[in-house]
Amino acid sequence: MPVLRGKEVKERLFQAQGPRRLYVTPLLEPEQQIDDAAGAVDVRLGTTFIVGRRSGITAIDPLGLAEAGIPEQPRELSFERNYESVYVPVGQPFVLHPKQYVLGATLEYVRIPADLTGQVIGRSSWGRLGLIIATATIVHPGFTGVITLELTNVEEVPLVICPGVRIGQLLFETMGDQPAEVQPPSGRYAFSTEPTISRLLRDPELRFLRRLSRRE
Amino acid sequence: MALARRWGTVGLRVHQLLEFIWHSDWKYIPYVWAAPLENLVQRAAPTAQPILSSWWAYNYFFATISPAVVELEEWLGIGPPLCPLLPVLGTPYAEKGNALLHSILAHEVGHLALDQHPVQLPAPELTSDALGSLSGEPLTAPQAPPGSLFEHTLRESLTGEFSRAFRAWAQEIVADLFALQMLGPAYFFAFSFLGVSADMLSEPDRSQPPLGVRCRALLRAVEAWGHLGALPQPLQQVVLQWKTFGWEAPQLARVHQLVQDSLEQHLDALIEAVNGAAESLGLAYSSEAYRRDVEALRNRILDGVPPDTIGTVPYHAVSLAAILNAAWEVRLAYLPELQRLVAGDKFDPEDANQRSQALGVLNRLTTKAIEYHAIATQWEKARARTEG
Repeated sequence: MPVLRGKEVKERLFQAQGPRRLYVTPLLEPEQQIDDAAGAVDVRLGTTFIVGRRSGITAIDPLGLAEAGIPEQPRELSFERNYESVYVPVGQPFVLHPKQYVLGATLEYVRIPADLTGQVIGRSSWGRLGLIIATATIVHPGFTGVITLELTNVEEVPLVICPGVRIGQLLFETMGDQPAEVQPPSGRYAFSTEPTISRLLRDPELRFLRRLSRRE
Repeated sequence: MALARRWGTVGLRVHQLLEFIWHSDWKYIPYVWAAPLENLVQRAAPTAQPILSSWWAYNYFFATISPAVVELEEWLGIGPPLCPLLPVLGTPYAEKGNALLHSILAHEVGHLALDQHPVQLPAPELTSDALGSLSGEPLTAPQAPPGSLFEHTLRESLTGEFSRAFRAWAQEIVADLFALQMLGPAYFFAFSFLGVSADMLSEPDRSQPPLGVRCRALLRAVEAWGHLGALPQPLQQVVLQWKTFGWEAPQLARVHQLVQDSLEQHLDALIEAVNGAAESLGLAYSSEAYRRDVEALRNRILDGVPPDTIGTVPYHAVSLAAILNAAWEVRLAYLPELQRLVAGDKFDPEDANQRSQALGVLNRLTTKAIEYHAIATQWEKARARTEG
């Protein structure tokens, strides 16, 4: 699968219409953000973070398997209670402590056409300071929304980051020869405008796994 | 004693201010509105430091904190006043995520504009004929004392009430018209949306003109300022339907009925006065701007993308008014298309749950576009300062 070059990325962003169009918005400094040679688009850190509330939980147990009295139905709301959303305006600091793990998102909202796939990677300048921004790096064809980033500081001292800073890069690859078709954005994270916590509870096999857990 | 009284008033105001500030935390307010609202407010009052606050009561409101403090400063001989103008714009907490409905905030900015730049309001007086028609009945009642004292008092109070109500009601209509200038048809749609709920769910508020009068004033202005022609056909139909909407006729005292009649006669004068004032303050959103921007923004929403820009390179965020108008277009005339995008293969136009999901997406995309508008505006200012 060939990686799109800068010229092709620009054509997709600024000239293409209909199903071929790639949206990455807002590109506040397009000349700075689009790397012609690498075909990469720099993405910025968004303004909302999701931080875990550690004090009230014994373990992150998204499947609810370790709890007594395992419920039949998923309990997304009760799972969400373990997290807190924090808004930080552009230019203001957010301190990421050593080994701390929070969810952030790209400032940019993207829509990937059906014939492309995206890959989000950290900027090495931040990586050298101990920041990891993503583990699930593939952005699927048709994805629409801000891209949730899994931020971790692997350094031993706190790291100050701030919304608006260029934090990662998006690369695009074509999906082979298949023509672009209009496909509705789908999936559990579609149209997200803020970082989104894990929707693991919506996995269809969970009910089966629960039954196994109860030895039914 | 006088000083203590003044300190008491100031203390009360400061207490109110602290409460408003407490409720202006981003967790309580539609925080992405803060910067665009500040921009609008400072066009009306350049030195103002607005506070966006939220309240549990279901009400949008406008209040000012500083007059009591300024009064104290004047009394103590401190000059020029140290306290900046602190207008508080309030939103109902229950509607925190309802980006489209917050168009109503423009009405509250309209009150500030009127405070700072008084519009010449007509001041009709109660004619003696009208007064006669009002005062005849009680004066001829058997228990009414003969003679002039009672009649004089009654005439005075009726005349006073007529002037007070006319002024208060006219101010509300002027604030509506300022809001229409700032946001274009988006304000009219938000007003009618909220107005219908108020009309059906609550008692009429006598401090405000009947909703039907406000609606008629806005409809006249929508046409007079060229907005009707800028709307796409389905939206024009929506506007025209409001012309025949049967607002519940409130039970008005006869003096207030006269106020209403008099207001209706002066609507054109109010529309003209606000048009001029808004132009001079740089608050006006023109129908030409609507024609230029809104269709492209609407198409972005229908692509599932925030309606934040119409250009390509370099990036320019569109105005708050353009974003809201695109969102209202989708809300009122194109929601099934968005629902089709959100629901995909399972699209069913009758499915209320799908419609609700589409409305949720619309609100999120609109909120995101407003956030981008604010960020881009601040970004450009910072860049200009950096580059000298």
